[in-house]
This record gives sequence, structure tokens and C-alpha cells, in this order.
Amino acid sequence: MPGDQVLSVKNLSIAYTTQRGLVRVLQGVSLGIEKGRILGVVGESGSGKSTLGLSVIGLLPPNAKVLDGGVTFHGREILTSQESNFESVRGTGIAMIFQEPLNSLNPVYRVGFQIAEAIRVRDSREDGSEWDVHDYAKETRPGKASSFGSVFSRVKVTPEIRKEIVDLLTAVRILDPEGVVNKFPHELSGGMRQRVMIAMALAERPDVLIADEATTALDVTTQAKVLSLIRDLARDYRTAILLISHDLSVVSEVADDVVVMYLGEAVEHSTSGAVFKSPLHPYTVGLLGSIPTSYVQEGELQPIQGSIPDPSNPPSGCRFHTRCPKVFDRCSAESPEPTTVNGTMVRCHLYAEKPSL
Amino acid sequence: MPRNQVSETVVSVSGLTKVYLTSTGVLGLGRRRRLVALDGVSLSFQKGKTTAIVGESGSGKTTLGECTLMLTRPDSGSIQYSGNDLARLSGKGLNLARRGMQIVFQDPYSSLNPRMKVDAIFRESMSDSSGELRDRMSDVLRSVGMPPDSLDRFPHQFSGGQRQRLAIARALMANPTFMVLDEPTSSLDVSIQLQILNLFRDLQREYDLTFMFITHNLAVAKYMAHHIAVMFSGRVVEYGTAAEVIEGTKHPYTAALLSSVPSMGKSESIVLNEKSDSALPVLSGCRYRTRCPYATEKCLDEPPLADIGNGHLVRCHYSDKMSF
Repeated sequence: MPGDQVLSVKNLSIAYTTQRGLVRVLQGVSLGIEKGRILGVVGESGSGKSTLGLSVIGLLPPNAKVLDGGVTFHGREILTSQESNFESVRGTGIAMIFQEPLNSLNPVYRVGFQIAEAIRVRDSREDGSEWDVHDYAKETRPGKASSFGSVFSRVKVTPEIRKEIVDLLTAVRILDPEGVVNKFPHELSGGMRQRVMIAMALAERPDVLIADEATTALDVTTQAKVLSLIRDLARDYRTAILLISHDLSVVSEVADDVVVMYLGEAVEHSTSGAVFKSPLHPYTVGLLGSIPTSYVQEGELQPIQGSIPDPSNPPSGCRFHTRCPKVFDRCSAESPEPTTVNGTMVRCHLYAEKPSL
Repeated sequence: MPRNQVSETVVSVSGLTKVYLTSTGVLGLGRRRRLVALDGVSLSFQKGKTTAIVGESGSGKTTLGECTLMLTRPDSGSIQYSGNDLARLSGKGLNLARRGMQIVFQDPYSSLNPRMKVDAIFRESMSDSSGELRDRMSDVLRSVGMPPDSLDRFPHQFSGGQRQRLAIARALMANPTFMVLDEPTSSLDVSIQLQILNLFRDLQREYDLTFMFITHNLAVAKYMAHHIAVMFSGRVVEYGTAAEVIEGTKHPYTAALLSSVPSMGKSESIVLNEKSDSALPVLSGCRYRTRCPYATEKCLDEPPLADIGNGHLVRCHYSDKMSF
């Protein structure tokens, strides 16, 4: 797909060192994200979707090993099998929001303080200055003898910083942003906390935002609101968004392009319209057919048979062949190469090009 | 409930109320807050049918399931099951009276004892140990799609979907007539969820089971249920047949839930017409009024749960004007 690629992942293969030896979790995954577009990554457990997200922002656990390929950001290599170079991009170039906002926010600091810290990080990146968490905001530090102080204290900031914090909270559509500045995370609802996380990510003015299961812990009505907020971020701020989810329907709501992953491989990659209206890979077809919708439908839906194989010991050949309704001889013997059919990348022998004579 | 067809009520709850006292502040010395988890809920469950309880977290749907089985004792109200009011029983009498009731939980990783083999887990839920026990266990395993040799294995040797099948089999071992299914597929992978949903549908046909199916997903409720009860803030706000609730929605909250279900590219994107997502509970009048786009002064008064025809119940002052 043409355009202005902010981030690209090329042929990335990653393995974890475990007691049972090397376990490959990503196998030759390639994708790119453009400014202002949302790329949805869908997969079930063991698909490698979270490892993909972590690799893009350089948060891979120590036992992860890049076997092949890499990640480039604005044309610059930030992750290869030899080195990783994230210090310059994390916090300003690429930001991430996670599934459970309560785990990602510091419970003993007020919201305003934490957003001020994010703003300070960004400014220090921009002017290269050393920084301290208390540069932009102060509140009585918890853990001191006067820990009750923090219960009664308020966030103290300069008027400019306060205005920026309030603007950010307004941008993520929090009601009463002035009041929320002085709230602790536990005083907010799940949806509000996730909005605060997004506000902190926005404070860093990232080019790329990674949202890993960012709405999974939220109620459906709240999820709908956060999704529409994510859609607006891409449109209004031209942020490139990598939306990782196990939920095909969430991705269908907001993504421009979709990558479907199964056991570490990207099995289908196309525009959202193509994937949802005319899916090619039998796995995508099966997934789409196994989700009840609120539309009129008669009779019983047909599930994908069998269970997900152990990712540390994937089936030979095509990894989906053990559950595929269209399996034939070649599938168990030979791993299919990615082919392009009508602009859709698909990894399946059904669509393999005829060998040229 | 006035119905044309003759239907046998297996369980009926009426006026169920449960209030939790929560405390805030350091060491719980702060203000005490009353959290009304259930506020006068009345529902009945017909034999061989599924009633879905739909709502978001905090709506009281799980508390309703627990109170119906007397796993949590309600503060007031009654639970009629096979000639007894469970709420008036305790101890052995209660255990005897609710033998035909079972529950399947959301998380199959925490609901099976990791130190017991499947065989022992099943034996626990059997009240009498008859001679052909192993045979019966094998039969039940087969009916949930698991091989008989599962009996000699431990829970950790199975995947999430398989464990949920075992949890269902354990419930079936007790020969239940009524089962509470509390988000039984929410922690499973997408490709496994439908397998389990279809299993419940098959089992219901085979054993004429009555289900209370608790879910946050209206689309799943529609797929599974004959009747749907939508709960908000401890109350039923809409109740009717699945078709009435989904296609003839009359409560603004049901409409908000419906429009939040992603449509998989089959229609317009989410248009959610709610005002705020305040975390503060509303304690008087219509509980939904602070989020409702149609709220007026009148909504400061509590609306009754009114029958708008055919047993379709709606708790809204403006139900006659609503169409979505």
C-alpha cells in the first residue's frame, strides 16, 4: 500500500528463550502504518499479536530474541537482530496504551501530576534537557511521614501547564476536566481511566500510538465511546494507530486496514472493507462466521472446529491445517508463502500461484 | 406472566433485593456507602428455555445469579424452586432443595480444583455414588464432546475451552434442571466461544434444561435466549422475548447497548447517544437519567416497570414514544 509510512515492520521473526528451548512467536511478519490510518491486528491467544506490539515500542522481555527482520520508524532502523534503539523514539515518537488502565496509572499520584510528567518527558526530548518528575507539577509526596498530606493536597502547576493538561483532558472528552486534574486514578471509572491514559499518550504528541486490547476491560457502552475517540485521534491528529485486539468486531469498527494473525504468522492482510466483506483465508472466514451479531440471523452458526495448537509446537506446513475445513494434501506438507489476490495478502495454498513452467 | 402457550415455570424470583455496605477511606474508617446491587428484581424462568440477563458491570447481573442459587443470601425477596422458597431455607434443607441447580462460571482456570483429577472433581458433585458411576461420567463427557480418558487427567492438561467443557460436564453430573451460566464464554478465545455456545444449545435440547444466561453482550444474548432481561443499576429496565427486546427496543439503555455492539461492517458505525459516563451511581428516580439523552424533569420520579403488551416490560416514562 502506498503512502507515507511512519512505521514499518519487515519480515520480523521473534523467539522466546524458554526452558524448552527457543519458542518462535512471530514468523516473518511484515506490515506498515501510515499517518492518520488505523491498522487493526486481530488474533487469538498464541497468535503473537502482543509480542508484535511490544516489539514495535521496544518493550520486549529480556528472553525475547529477534531472529530476523526488523522495525523501522521514519526510515530509521529501531529494532534489528543486532541492536535496538528506542531511547530516541519512546515517549515522543511512539506511545502505547494497555488493556488495564488501573495497572498503568500510578495509584498514589493525582491524574494531573501524571499528565504533567508526560508533558515534561516530551519537552525534555524536544530540548534535550535533564528532568525531574517534580519539574512541572508538585503535590505532597506520598511515602513521607506526612503521607496524609497527599490525601488533602492538590496538584500545583503553572497556569500554562494546567491549561495544557485541561486541554488534553478535554480532547479525550472527559467531563469536568478541571476536577479530574485533582483526582486519583481509583476515583475514576474504567472508561475515564482509559481516557486519562490516552491523554497521557497524546501529551507526548506521538506519531504512532499502539493500543493493545485497550478497550477489552471496558463495558460495551464505554468501549464504543473509547473506540470513537481513537478514530478521531487518527483523523484530527494524523496519528498512525496500531490497534491490537482479539475481538474482530472491535477492529471492524475503526480499522482502515486489518492484519489477521494465527500462531505467529500474518495469514491475511488487506483493507478493512475487503477483510470483512470478502475474506479469503479459511481462518478469517471461520472467525467472521463464529461471532453472533445483533442482526437477524436464523439457525445455528458454524464454529471453527478443534482448539488452538500449542504455540511452542505449531503444526507442520500451514499452521491452520489442523482446523481448516478446506484442508488438502499439500497443507500439512508445505508452509504456504504469502500471495497477493486482488490487493489482499493471503497465506494459503488455495490461492497459491500456479508454478510457472 | 400472561402467555398463550402453556409453559412450566421452573424458578421464579420475586422482589430480590441485596445491598452491600462498602466503606471508604483509610482502614475503612471513612464514610459508609450503601451499594444497591439488586433492587426488587422479579423474574420467572420457563422450563427448557433460556433467559438472558444483560447489563454492564455493576448492573447486578452476577448478584442476581448468585442470589437465585442462594450462593449469596438476598436481603429480601423469595426464590421459588420445586415447591420451596429457597430464601427461607438454610443449611442441609437448602442444600437438599437446590440439588437440581447448578452454575458454570466465567473462568474455567479458577473454577476447577488443580489438585484433583477430573474423576474426583466429578465425584464431588454427585450426591449418591451408584455402581455405574464411571459409565455415567463417560456418558456425560461424551455429551460435552470430551474423550472418556479425560477422567484420569488433571485440569492443567486441558486448554481453556476444554476446561469449560469439563466445568459444564461437572454441572451436568448433578442432573440439574436449572443452570446459571455466568459469562461462560467471556474468557475463551473467539474461535472457541461459539463451540461452547452451541454446546449449551444442544444440551438444552437434549436434557430440557432451563438456563439463566448472564452476559454483557446483547448479540450473544440474542443468539442464545428466548427471553432477555436488561438490567441497569440493580433493576430490570426491559424484559421480553428476544425478538421484542432486540427488534422492538423500548428502553433508551437497551438501545445504547445495542448500538454499542460492533456491527462487523454490516451497517453504520457505532452511534452512541449517551450524555456522560459518570462513575457516580444515581440513587433516586430513573437511575439511567444522567446518561439518557431523552431525560426530562419527569425522570426525577421513578418510572414503574410497566407491561406495554404481550408481557414486554419497560421501565421508562416515555416507553410509548420510544422507537429505535
